[in-house]
Amino acid sequence: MSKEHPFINKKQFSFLGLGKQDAIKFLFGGNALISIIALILITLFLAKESIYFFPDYQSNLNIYRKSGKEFADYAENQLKYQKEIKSLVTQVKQYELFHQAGVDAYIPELFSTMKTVAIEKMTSELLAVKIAKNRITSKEIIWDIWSEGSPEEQAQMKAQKAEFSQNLIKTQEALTAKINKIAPSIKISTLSPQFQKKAYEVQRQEPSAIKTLQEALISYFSNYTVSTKTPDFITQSSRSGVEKRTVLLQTPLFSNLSQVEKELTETYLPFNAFVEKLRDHALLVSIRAESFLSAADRKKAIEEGIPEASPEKKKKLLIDLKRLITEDQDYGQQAEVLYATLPEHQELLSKMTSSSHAIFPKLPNINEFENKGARRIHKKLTKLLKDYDAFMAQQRSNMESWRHDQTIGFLKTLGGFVFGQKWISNSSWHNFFGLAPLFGGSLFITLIAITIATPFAVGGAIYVNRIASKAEQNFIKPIIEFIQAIPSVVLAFLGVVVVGQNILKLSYIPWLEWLPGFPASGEQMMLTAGVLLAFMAIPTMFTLAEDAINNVPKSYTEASLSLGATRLQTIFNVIIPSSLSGVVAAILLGFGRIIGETMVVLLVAGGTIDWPTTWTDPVHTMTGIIAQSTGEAAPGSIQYRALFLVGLFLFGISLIINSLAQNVIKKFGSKH
Amino acid sequence: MKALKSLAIGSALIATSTAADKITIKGSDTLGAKMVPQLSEVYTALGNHVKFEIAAEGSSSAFKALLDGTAQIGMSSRSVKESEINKFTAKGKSLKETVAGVDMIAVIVNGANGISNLTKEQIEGIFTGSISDWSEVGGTPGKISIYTRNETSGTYKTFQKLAMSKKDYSSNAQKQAGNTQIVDQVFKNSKGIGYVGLAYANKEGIKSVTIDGVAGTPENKASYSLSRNLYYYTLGEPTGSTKKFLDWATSSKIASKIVTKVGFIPVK
Repeated sequence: MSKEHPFINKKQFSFLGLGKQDAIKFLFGGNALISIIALILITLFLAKESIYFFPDYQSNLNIYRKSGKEFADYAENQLKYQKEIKSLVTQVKQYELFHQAGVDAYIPELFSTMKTVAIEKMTSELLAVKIAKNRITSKEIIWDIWSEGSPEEQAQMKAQKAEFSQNLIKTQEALTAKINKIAPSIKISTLSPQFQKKAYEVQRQEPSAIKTLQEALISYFSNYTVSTKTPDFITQSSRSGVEKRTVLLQTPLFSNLSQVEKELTETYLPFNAFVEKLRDHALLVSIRAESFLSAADRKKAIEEGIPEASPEKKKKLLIDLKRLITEDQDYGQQAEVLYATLPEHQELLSKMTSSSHAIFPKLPNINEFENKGARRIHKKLTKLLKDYDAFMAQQRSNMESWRHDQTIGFLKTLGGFVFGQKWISNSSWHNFFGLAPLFGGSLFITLIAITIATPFAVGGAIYVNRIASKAEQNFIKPIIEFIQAIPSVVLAFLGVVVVGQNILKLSYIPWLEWLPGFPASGEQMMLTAGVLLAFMAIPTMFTLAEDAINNVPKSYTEASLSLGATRLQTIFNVIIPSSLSGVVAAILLGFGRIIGETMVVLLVAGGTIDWPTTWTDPVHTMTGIIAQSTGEAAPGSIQYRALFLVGLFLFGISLIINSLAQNVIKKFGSKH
Repeated sequence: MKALKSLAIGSALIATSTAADKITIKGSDTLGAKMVPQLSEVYTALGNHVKFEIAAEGSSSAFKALLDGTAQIGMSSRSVKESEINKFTAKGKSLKETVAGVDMIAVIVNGANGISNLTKEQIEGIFTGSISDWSEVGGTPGKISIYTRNETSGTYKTFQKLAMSKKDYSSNAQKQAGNTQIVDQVFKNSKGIGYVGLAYANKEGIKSVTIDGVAGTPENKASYSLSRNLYYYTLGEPTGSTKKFLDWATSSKIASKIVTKVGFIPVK
């Protein structure tokens, strides 16, 4: 500051030698520094909690092995396979049975579904009935007290009773009027999509059914406050459905299937008992192992509590302290019990498989089934039977090579986390923390969203930048950018109320049934989340893509046009290729935006922790599990740390995607 | 120093005596949605000058709130876990358990479902995932959608213990935040199944199934397989207005009538 500066007045206010300029400089510099420090602290904090996860999880997996739960699970897998075969046989039988027995069985369902629609249309009337009823029941006790009280109280009670029951009658009148009005409007097209197909079938076989059901609805709700008895017509048709099925069960196809079903159930009964025995043993060992581990915590808790406790309590605590387990059990000895069961297992297994092989050929051929569903399940069954021997042998060899003292190393623990297919906390068998299903959920939802959003965002950007008039540009751009301002929870509402239902309806349209995963089983699924997130990503992607297209030098377009190319040719052959890097970066950043989104996936993705097989499956996501479980996980527990690790993983993904996007721009972007 | 200490004790005393007029009750959704609010309403109507604050966010939150000192009474639909006791011991505190009543867990299905009875094995099969289609239990064909509570819930754990031989829930199970949400989902989905406290099971459009032929009604409390105790927890022996309320809620005739009315079975 020794040199005179022509534009700065040196005489202005200064404090401790710091002028206004310096203060502003340090303020901004300080802000930037704080952001960097905060970022570093967040990273360290995430890393600190999640690093501890690995030793915890390693010891958790080691208990799984040492206690013999792993051993028991191999046998359990065999049992499950066997049970699934039996399940599928039952399903094949029942699908075909209900198909052949006609529509009687569906009439009660149809009635209830129509009733559901009616209930939704009469919410306010039914609420009035409920309030009127509640007013009576909530006063009953006080009336009881009053009925033995003073004359005034008794009079008050009588007046209230009369008023309230009058009120109830009024609500019934309103309800009756409403049901008479709306009943004719409850048609097949207003039912939930899952039911429409069946409903049309009912109508085809019994054209008057819907009319009769509408009348049944009226009679049901006209007497609603007094009794809620199912109309006779409904009970009758369900009875006649049962009768028809009973007759059908005597026919050769079904009696044969019933026989197979019965014999299959008998094959696994002894094996089931054996597996239960293994499981009980392993569970006991692991409970002991855990209480040995928690003894340390208990000891610490008591030692911390002693100084704060009252004298008598101190005595009690000291006794507790002495009772704690201090020696771990002998795992080798416990494992010997399991090793010794191997011959018994072999014997039971071969009994089960050989009797199953005697039963399998009795299964009817697929051509004997008319019902589509039955045929679909039959195919699944055939595949299971084909792999039967290989699967049983695989599990058996796993059991033979199982060693309780083969400890699980760090790499296996890491693998168990990253590729683990199960995420189960608070389990009564064993807790697992496998990222794969959550990662799968996040990834596939993001891919669906990107696939939907890219054409809209990029197409929109090209149109706005190259084709639209100035007035159009000024209209479209702010609107698209405004979408970004919609809070994600509001979008999630939209998903719950509108989008989910409509996608479900769409999935029941007959000519779309060839699509994989259609019809969907519920509103909450990957596709719903994907559609909403696409909507959310469009503004980000649109703005970035538009910038990239805008950056293509004017000379390129002019050169192309002057060579005689049309405008469309120019767009596809000149502009898109030269702005491609920016567009790719836009897509990548859209990807990063979507994968970190929480609210929408939490509310509409479904919450099923399983690796998705098709785009209409419900899933859980990495962000969703953090939002859902953080509140319930005890600080310091494995689950808590696992959640932090998931957070760190998400953080890493965002980091990689962002740097990838920047690299793309740097490497390919500055050629013009 | 001594003066300061006595001042602190004095202010603590004032704090407890003013807090005594307000009882904060936190914990289980099963207890906190109907039973405790109605109990407290009648209790104040009977001329007791007490203000109640009730929050129902799952049994686990009862112990958190008691430990923080943000509640005087914790409601829980399961008994306290060992890891939770440890936290209290570490702070030199202890818990006192009072049985609030007996609850039955109802297994509910959509009103459109033809099934009205399930055996215990079938229920275990459905919730563990080994039975995946309604046709396997005699219903009209269709894939079963399972709705369960989330893990903070005491009902989640109790159901696992009572109905599923402590096996894990199927990976297809969809977790819901409370009893009402389960009722809503089962109401909407004709292929749904879930479980709720008996008090929630009487909604129009859903129905509770009998288990091995036994309906979950108070008369059947001995033979119905899915019943459990509900608890109040306090820090040490309850005192003052808290004690008065708890005594009334667990032993008076009127209180037991209310408990019966909301669908639970009173202790006395």
